[in-house]
Amino acid sequence: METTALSDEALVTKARQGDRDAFGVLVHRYQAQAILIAQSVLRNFELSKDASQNAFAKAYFGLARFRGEAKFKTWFFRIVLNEAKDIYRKEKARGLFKFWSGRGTEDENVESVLELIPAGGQSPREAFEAQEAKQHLERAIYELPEREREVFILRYLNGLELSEVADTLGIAIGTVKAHLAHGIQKLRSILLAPAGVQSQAGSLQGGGARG
Amino acid sequence: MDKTELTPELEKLVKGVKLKEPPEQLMADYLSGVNAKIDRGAEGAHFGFPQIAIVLAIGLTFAGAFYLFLTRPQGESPVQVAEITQKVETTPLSAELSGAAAKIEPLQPLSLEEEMEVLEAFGEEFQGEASDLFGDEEVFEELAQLDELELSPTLSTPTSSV
Repeated sequence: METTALSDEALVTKARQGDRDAFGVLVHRYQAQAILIAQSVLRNFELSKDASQNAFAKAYFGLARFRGEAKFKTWFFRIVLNEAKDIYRKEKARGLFKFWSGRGTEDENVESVLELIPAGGQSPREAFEAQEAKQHLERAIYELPEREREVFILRYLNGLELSEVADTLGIAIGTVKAHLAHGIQKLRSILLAPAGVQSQAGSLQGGGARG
Repeated sequence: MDKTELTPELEKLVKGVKLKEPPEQLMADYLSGVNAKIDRGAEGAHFGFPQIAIVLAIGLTFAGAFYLFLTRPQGESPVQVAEITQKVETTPLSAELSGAAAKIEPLQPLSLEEEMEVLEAFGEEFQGEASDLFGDEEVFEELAQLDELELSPTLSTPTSSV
């Protein structure tokens, strides 16, 4: 059987025995999602790439401690999230120092983490409005409290199941649901406030569906 | 409706966007980067901020303990005081001093004549020394003359009546 077709569990077993190729398959399988998760915290591609690579290295050394009680995927995503938060704290401290010393701004490394799903047949005006709606949504997401934001992003932008979100964050499913409900309620109130979400939703309507 | 489900208008918004995917060209060296980090991690323990913080904390603790040791209270205990007293008493100097003290005879009371002689001698000596202390005998004489002069009637009359 080809290594790339093996399950996560089989690859983890091989990697534990020192098979770097098997671990390489795991890297290839989860690198994109790892970067997306890190990016949702760090909002910077280079930092996210670095954080996810660190997380893979930590996971490699931590495989001996991985007992298979949780899925490798959620165990690894938790490492990514913690690594990203760790880097975020360091960068924030560095950014503050640069800001205080007048050598930069606090948010100079912040990049947009969302992009529009390409939609056909949009007029330039519709495309512009869709872009504005995307920015408005992104701002609203980052106005949420940390936990609610994490839950919302993992569930609706990374597409994880509720149980996977709970495993990744190390909290109960009930807590995930509560955070999600609060997050959605706050997003609605933020988005509905001045401009009206109806018009923004309308401008994104041609954007295609995601599962 | 389940509160964890997106409302229709929010769902339209969220379904129109996705997380930005990393550019392909920047992902080409991804696996080699991971392997490099694994190799570096395998080479030796990483000496980063937490390690530096631990070393600093231990260093500060030792410095604090050393400072407290240096500035500890220096008072001797009663046992030490007794030991020191005993040592002082046994030294030759203290023995000599106690011997000299024993030799001093108590003073005999003076008779009235002897006391008067002493006082006269002291008075003469004091006068000479006092004038030496003031230094200027002329000033002394002037002061004595002024004392002898009677004040003039105008100056001695009170200027106002109470």
